[in-house]
Amino acid sequence: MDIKARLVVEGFLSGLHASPFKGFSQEFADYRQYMPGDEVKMIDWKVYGRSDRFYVKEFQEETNLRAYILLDKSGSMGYGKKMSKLEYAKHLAACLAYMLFRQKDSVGIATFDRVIDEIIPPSARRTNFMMLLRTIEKAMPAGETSLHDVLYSLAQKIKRRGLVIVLSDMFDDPDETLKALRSFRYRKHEILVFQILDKEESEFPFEESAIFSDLESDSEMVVTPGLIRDRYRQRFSAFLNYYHQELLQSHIDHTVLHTAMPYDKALFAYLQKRARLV
Amino acid sequence: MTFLNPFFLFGTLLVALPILIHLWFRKRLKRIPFSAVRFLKITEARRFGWLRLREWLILAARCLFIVFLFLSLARPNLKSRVFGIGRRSSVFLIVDNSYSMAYGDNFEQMKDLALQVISMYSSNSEFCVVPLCASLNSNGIFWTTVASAKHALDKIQLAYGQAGIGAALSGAPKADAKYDIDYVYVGDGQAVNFRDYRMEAIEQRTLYWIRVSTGGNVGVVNVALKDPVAVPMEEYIVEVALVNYGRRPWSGKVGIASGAYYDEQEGTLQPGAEGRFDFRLPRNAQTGKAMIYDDSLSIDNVYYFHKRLPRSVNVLVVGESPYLAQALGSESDPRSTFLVRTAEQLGAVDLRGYDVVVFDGMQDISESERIRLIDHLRNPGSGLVMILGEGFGPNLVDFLSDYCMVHEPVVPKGYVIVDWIDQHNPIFRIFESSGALRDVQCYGYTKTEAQSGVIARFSGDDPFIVVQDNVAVITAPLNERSTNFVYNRAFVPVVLRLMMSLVQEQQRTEFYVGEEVVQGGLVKAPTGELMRAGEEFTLPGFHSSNGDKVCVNVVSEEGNLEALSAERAGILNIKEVYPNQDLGGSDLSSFFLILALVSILAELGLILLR
Repeated sequence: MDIKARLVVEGFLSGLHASPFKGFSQEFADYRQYMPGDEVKMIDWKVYGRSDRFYVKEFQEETNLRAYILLDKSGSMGYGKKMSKLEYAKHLAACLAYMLFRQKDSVGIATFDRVIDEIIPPSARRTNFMMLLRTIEKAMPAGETSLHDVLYSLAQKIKRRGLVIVLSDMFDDPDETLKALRSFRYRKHEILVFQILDKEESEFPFEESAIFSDLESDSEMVVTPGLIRDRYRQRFSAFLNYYHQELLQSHIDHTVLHTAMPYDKALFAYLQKRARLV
Repeated sequence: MTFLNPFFLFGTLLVALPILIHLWFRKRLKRIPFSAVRFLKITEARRFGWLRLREWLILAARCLFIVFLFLSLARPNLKSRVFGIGRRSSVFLIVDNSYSMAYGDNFEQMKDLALQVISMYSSNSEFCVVPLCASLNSNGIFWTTVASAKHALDKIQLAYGQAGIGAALSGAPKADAKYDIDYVYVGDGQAVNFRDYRMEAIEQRTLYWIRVSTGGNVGVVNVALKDPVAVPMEEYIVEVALVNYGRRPWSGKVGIASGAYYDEQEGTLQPGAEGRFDFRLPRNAQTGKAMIYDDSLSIDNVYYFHKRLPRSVNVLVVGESPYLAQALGSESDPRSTFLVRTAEQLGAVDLRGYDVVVFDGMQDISESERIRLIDHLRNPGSGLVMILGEGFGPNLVDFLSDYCMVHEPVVPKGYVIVDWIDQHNPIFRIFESSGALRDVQCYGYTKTEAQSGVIARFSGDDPFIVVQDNVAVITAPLNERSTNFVYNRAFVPVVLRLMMSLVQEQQRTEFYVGEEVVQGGLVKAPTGELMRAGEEFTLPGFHSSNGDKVCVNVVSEEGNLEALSAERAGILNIKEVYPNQDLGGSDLSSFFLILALVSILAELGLILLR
């Protein structure tokens, strides 16, 4: 996963971004007079020797982005012939994590289906990155989706504002899901939604009558695809458009990805978002 | 509900077939795991419920089709309510066993229906099962249980005699009935069988007639000598009479067989018509059968005959009147029926050479003549015809007193006519349809009184002809002043048959079933059974008596299958019960067949309806 992410990301990595926030780092920025409350270890004793005044060094902080990757591993994400949606989402998550790691950004991850399965808090350390990759790798499709519940729950847990990246097919009640996403916005998070779909889901190319069984429940249905294809496509398209319109209005980036697409689109979308955040 | 073909009910098990096919097809459908089934459901939200319902409705329609189809084939019947089911009654059940019921399988059908009737009543009911054709003895008829009634029904066989509903009803043991009596008749309801029926016989109640349908029938009603008077030389002619009782024209063959002799003719008969076919038979072929073919009711298609051909009779006419001798013909004519000799007085004429002595207008006889006559009449084959004159002496009166009392001569103002003859007397059988003697006028006769044996009367009720034993008395003189009888066309046949009857040539050789045996000795039936005088003939066919053939035939009227009309039945308070509708109940086959068709159409409709 690590290697694959590296290969994908290499072409897109164009250096570190300057942070508008100053903080603790290796890069010197300026001196300022000591003020009570500053740490004593920050006092530059050489300057004190020359000027008999207490000055403390200030460094330019390289990054301060805290990114949260929310990976949907519910049953519906297991759909896909050559590559399942979850596989695609996992690779994309790894790529994004790698990019963030390389940029010294803190990155964390949460996998979930109906509830949160595993959560790793954001950190820029390599060990954290390796743990994150293992968590991604472990994620297997199972269980029903309750995206909005999970998002509400995560919104409560994530205190510090940052970038929330949602990787899901969004097969949940759109209104509830949108409400949950908006709750992140209320907490000043930036949100990037990658809606990952399979081509068959949007085009419904089946020909023969068959029993379609739901991946998340026992529900099944005998369908003659030719009879309902047009109506299905219209419904599905309306579903995507609804999400898109509503998310746009809520200033949430929404990118629809198909499993057959290269990861570039997703990464560009991320970089554009990242650039806006600088 | 009952089923006439219950084994078809097993077919309803095939209802499992569409269910299995349904499940098999369902199993055969590819199962595709899909992530967006929620969208399929949303897409088909409105139709999803209908589609599932439609699927089940199609399956149900298929199942119903099979169930209804096999129910229809099983011929379900709703039981009749005509008699009520399980009613407790005293049931007087008349079953028609007359030979008309031999038409097709009517007899078996009748028994089935009668069983059905018995089964409909409560087991506590009591039954009298009476065959329509039987010698009834009311002392022998009593109410029985269901089992006995069924047993009695089982034992009833076809009979060949004449049947009468009235006679059958007369034997009903009404006084012993425990419950209200239901009168039920099962049969073809021939109109002739109802001739003796009176509503009083069932005390104004309803007679239920469970109808067994019949078709048409053609029967041989008689085989008669074409000329019963002429003495045949080498051959003679018989006339075979047929009647078509049906509603369609009949075409077929009529044959006659006697020993090695056989002849046949093609014939056609219009509905209701009687046809006569002449056959010329050798003189020695006097016993045989006349037959017709191509008819459904076969019992009356054969007529057994045994003909005694007319032979010359030696007649001695004693008297002065010439009319009789002239009318009877000449002694020299070999074909004449009579060999007539005349004598003015009986005197010393030897009577042994004569079969019949005719006293024509004799005033009186002597004592010795009286004794000789009595001796003569003791001989079998001898007879006397006494034609009274215009006066008579005491010996004659004394002689005749054994047969009839002779009173005074009568001279009516104008004339009297013969207005009654005994149609059943064999002497007049050949005049059944022609009304012989009806126009005989009499201007003077002798008033006589007879207790029995009167076979013809004048309009004043005085006897014209009296026959007793081997003596016949004609009360009117045979001359132009007294009667025109000798000029009547019936004269010769009547006198011949009268003389034949006296010389025992009248001994019948052809009978009908139901008539009594009159032969002196025993009669052997075709079954080998011996019958005595007074017993009834029960079977058609050749019987034998003292080496002579005796032929017994069915009553031709019984072959008339014309049923009692609905109008007449209504008048007589007879309720017709149609087995299919009223007794066997409603046949629901068509109903279920329609339901099966509706099911299959519904299925097709559902398949086309998307």
